[in-house]
Amino acid sequence: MTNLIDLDRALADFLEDGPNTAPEAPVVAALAHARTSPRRPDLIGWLRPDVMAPPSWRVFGLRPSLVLAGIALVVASLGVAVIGSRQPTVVPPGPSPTTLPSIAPTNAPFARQITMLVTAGQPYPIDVTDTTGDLVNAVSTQPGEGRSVGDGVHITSDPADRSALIVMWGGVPCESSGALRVDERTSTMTVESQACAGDTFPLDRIVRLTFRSEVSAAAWSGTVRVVGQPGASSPADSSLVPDTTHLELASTADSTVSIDIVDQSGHLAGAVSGPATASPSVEFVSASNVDPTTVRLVWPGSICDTVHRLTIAADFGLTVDRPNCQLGLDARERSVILTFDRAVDANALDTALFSGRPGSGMPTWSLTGRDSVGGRYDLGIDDASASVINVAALDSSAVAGPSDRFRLDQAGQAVIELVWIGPGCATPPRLSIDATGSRWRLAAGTCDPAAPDVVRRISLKFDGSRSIDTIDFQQVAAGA
Amino acid sequence: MDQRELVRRAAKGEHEAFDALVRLASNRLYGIAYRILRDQYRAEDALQQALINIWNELPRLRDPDRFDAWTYRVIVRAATAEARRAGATPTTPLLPADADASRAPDDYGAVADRDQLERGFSRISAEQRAVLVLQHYAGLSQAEIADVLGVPLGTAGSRIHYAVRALRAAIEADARLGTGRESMA
Repeated sequence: MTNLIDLDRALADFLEDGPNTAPEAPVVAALAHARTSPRRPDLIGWLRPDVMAPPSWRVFGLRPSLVLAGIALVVASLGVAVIGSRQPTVVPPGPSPTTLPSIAPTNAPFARQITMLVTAGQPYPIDVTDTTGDLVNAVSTQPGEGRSVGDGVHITSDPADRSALIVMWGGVPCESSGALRVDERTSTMTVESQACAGDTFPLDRIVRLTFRSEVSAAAWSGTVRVVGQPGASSPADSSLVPDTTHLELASTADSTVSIDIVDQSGHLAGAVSGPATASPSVEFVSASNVDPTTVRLVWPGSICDTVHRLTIAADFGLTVDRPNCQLGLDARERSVILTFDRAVDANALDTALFSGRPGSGMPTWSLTGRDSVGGRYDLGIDDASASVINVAALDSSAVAGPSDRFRLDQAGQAVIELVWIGPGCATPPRLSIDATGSRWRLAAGTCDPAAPDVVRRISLKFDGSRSIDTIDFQQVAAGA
Repeated sequence: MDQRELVRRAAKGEHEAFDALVRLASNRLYGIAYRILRDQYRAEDALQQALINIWNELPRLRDPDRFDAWTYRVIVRAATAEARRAGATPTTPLLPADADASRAPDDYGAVADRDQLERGFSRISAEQRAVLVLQHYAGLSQAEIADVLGVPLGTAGSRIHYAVRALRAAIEADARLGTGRESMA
């Protein structure tokens, strides 16, 4: 055993024994974490080193480009100091240089409607315009939770692109439209933002603007102009809202499956459901041409995926959003056939599929259950705390109705059961969990007051211990 | 869709791509974690933490072709961290209770060697176990181990050398202890 070759061989044999298949639990938990922990925008991501960068290429953990930039800055500072210390050169008066007439830019002014991504409330359209056409692109970036800038408009340079500016301001959750006016001649920006009734906390809004040439954030300033209560917009404002088409998708189950199609391209001529298919033929969302103007979009789902939102971007990029739903349920294929008023190359389209993405307008989770009399209900859960890792509808048939219309039971350290009484005809109820995870509000929907009550029972699993004693639960009216 | 595309999509935040990547990598990563920790529950914890870290840090992986090497690094770090957190003492039996009875008499010598190996392996550090697992179980070369651990080639060679030496010393110490026990009996 002391021979090295023997030890190597024995060690290889020894290590060969043992499990080679990962248990399901940690995998499911990690996937659930990922689904409930969407990517946050990382404006300084370019500063962070590559996770596989060789250590020898880092200085104090910084990327080489940063180190070189730092060295260049020091050299430049020294140069300025040396030159600045010399006596000024006296230039004798003479004829002033001739100023050549400048050529006015001939670009058409920029005007585009983009979808503002938000962490609370619904994504909404904003009109971005400029005066000279030097602005060439505008995109909204998913903000993090809360507010990171003060009042007004905060403008910074994009470190990764000298021709881009990052524009941030605070918006309120009820906004349904807005505008960003960019005036290159005065280097000013004006944000038109709606006011909210009642107490609301402003949240970040982020737009990245790209110009034809280099821009300096220091030269720019901006203001926010509050334009009144939502819903009070003039008819002209309604043109800002992109067309939304509600479509029922073919389903192999008894459930209703729907999709809201938000067309920001302005070129969608029609949409119909593809056939219902039990076995997905695709692993990811996939677009293909049926003919030059028709695109078939297919994506894998499961029977609990009942609501979707498809956003067609101005460049025809296709993004499907849906809530998370119970893991491991029967797979289904979903598809929709989109017809445009012009030729669209499906192979060139950017496609994406997201589950439970904050700000998508979809609930974080959805589940389908049977109430105490066997009636079906679909519950949407908005989890701002991102701590729910699974949900399940439980058998409600043999459950005694709670005396005060709801009950929370501690079913495990990290599992809470919710039992509630509500009218059987209620429109889909929605449970909202705030960012702290402790404030739960169940909106039961509207219903005929005379409708008989039923009992419903669900369980929620969290990513760590959660005590029912810490939860402030209330049933509220729909829309509250 | 190839792994490179999956990595690119997952880095953008596409959960389905990440799901597929996890399904591709989890068995490999669990195998490594288990062999470093010799404990199924701690290996599960390490795997879960590693997968979460992979999700969180994936946007910082600039070259998708280095995904496999990077995930080796992540699981090794998660497993060694788990070993430190848990005090590095395996909690599950290293061999079945009826291991001797289940084997033919002429296999006895091999069982004795395995038993010694198991005890010796449990006595070296998690970092030393990790390099041995990468070399003998994952089949990585010294250069690949250096890449995974983020250390120079010579350092990787040195770590392998000292891990083997530590294992041999642990086995020999175990053998001496066994002889002593027999003589006392």
